[in-house]
Amino acid sequence: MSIYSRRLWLVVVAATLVAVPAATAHAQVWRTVTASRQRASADSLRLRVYFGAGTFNLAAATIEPLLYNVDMRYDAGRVRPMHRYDAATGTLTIRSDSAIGHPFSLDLKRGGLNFNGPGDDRNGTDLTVGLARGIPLDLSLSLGACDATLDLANLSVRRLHLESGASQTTVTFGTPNPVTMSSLDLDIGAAGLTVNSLGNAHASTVNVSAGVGGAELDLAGTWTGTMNLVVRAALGGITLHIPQDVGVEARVARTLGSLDAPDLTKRDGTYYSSNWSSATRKVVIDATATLAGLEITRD
Amino acid sequence: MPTRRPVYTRAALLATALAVAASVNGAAAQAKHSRARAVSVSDSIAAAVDSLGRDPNGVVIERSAVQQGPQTVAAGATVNGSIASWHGPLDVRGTVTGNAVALGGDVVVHTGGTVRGDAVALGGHVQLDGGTVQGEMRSLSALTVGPLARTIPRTPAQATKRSLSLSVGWYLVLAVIGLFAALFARGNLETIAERIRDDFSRSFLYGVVGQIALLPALVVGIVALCITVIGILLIPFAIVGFVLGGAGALALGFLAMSYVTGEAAMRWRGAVSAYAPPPVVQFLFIGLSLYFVLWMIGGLLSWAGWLGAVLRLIAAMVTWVAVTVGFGATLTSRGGTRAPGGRVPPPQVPPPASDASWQTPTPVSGVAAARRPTPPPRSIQH
Repeated sequence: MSIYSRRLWLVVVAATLVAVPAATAHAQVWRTVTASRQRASADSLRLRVYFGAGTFNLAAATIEPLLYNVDMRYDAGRVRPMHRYDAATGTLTIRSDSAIGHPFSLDLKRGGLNFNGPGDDRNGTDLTVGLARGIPLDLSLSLGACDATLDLANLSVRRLHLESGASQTTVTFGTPNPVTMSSLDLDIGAAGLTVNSLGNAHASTVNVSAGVGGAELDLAGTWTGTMNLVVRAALGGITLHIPQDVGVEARVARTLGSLDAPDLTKRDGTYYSSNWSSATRKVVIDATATLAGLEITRD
Repeated sequence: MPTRRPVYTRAALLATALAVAASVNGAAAQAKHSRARAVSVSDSIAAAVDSLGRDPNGVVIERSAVQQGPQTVAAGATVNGSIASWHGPLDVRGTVTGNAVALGGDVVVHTGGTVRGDAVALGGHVQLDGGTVQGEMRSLSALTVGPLARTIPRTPAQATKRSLSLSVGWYLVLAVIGLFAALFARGNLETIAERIRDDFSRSFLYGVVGQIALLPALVVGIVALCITVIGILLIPFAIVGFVLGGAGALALGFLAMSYVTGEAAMRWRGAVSAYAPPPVVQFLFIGLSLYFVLWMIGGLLSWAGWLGAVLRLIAAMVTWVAVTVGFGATLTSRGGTRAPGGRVPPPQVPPPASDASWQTPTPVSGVAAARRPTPPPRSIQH
């Protein structure tokens, strides 16, 4: 190697060493917004959330008698979240779509080159929503790539529509839902979904559509009658945890998919649990598995 | 021997240019600072009101509703419309028919107090002390839009860091891709580089045409798949494949161009041996580094206003030409599978065995022993 090429290499290495620390710090402009509204005469609430990247928490409001309270912490250099309450329709809309304005950042402390995009929780928005207890709620949540925790204990949820792109979402019905749920739709793309105590939702029909990420549904809880569970799984896997006392009927259509249900017996193309005819509460599963696995366990 | 401008002269010129740019910007910054000091409180309030009205989480109030210092709405009193305090708390004990706003303070709604609109605190908190707010209670840490949201547009330092970050990020990504290309697609890379050397202008022309034709080609492909009906199912895969293919061709072309650039730089320095095989990785990284340096200079001078913008524009133009030429060469050489003249590049021949290879111990079974190289027969001289 000649002296010129050695010098050139030296320049390149030196430039890199100088540039990397200089480029390490990304300018972040953090803002916080806290919003709340007194309940007054409101008799119901519709919540529409469009959330991009970050952390999203939803639970019952801790302060009474608030209709809602919203806490947001966001990087104003990336996102411009907004919220609106329409008193005429009783609709609260929160929008915090992610904006990728900085695809690369170098962070030596965390170990090298980072690709910032949806799902980068460190740079995402923190959104916490508290909702009033005791009034019917219609929830429509559209989540991008975030960590979402929905604690629906002590809330009266009339409808829940959850649409998730690449989020890790946990839904917990910690206490029995005081109202009957007219619709419960969970549409998960390349994300993970965990539903705890789904039996407390008091939904006659539950629709679950899961993509790559898969879903885990626990049907524990205080529910009576028959629950219809419609499951569509593609590429991922769905695991159902069903209490022992619940009668199970499962119709499963598989396309290169698999079914793992050791406690069920197949009769005339349909799977039944041994207590199907005697159980006081039942679940009827209509499942479609395309390149996916369906597992049914009895807890 | 060509005469070269001394290194010291060039360094002095560069330092002078930097000093001029710095002094121009320093003077501009000083003037801006002086103007900022001259802005009156009234102007600040007007700016705050304007920003608050345009903030997605803000509120619209009249400029005339804002009063300096702490404000109080006494019990039994009624304010028709909105009221706002500037740099002080707002205590509401009576009735406000509009919005109650504190710009740089808390809004406290005491027992008996009523706000029929929104209660908004900028840089403070809304506190409910037994009162009633019929609208929304909002606390904003700062504004995000408008003249007061000065931190939102990037400062020169932030802009510089961002430019450097982007430059380094792309450089590292391309370096990794280049390393893989040099290791696993060296033949393709060299063929494309050869195409660039042979016909630079034609490669550029093909590159321009190829870039223009990318989108129409995708549309035509999708239409063709639609016509076949069954191909409709393949459309998502075709789109993904097309995008990946296009991006791959652009990247490979740029890497080949970097290779040629690095080679040219080394030849200019007289550091290329005519007998040794070309050091592909070295050429590639030197070429990439040269383009990177262009972007780094532009990024480092982001603070210098128009000078930085011009440098970044130059870097962008140079990079675009490089990408275009490389893309054209990639297309004409069919991804490096066709050498100039339409011939298929010869397969890579393993390097000849060294003279001592015949001495290698021969396995026991089934392998023919190497032949010892023998010198050519001497010519008989009479």
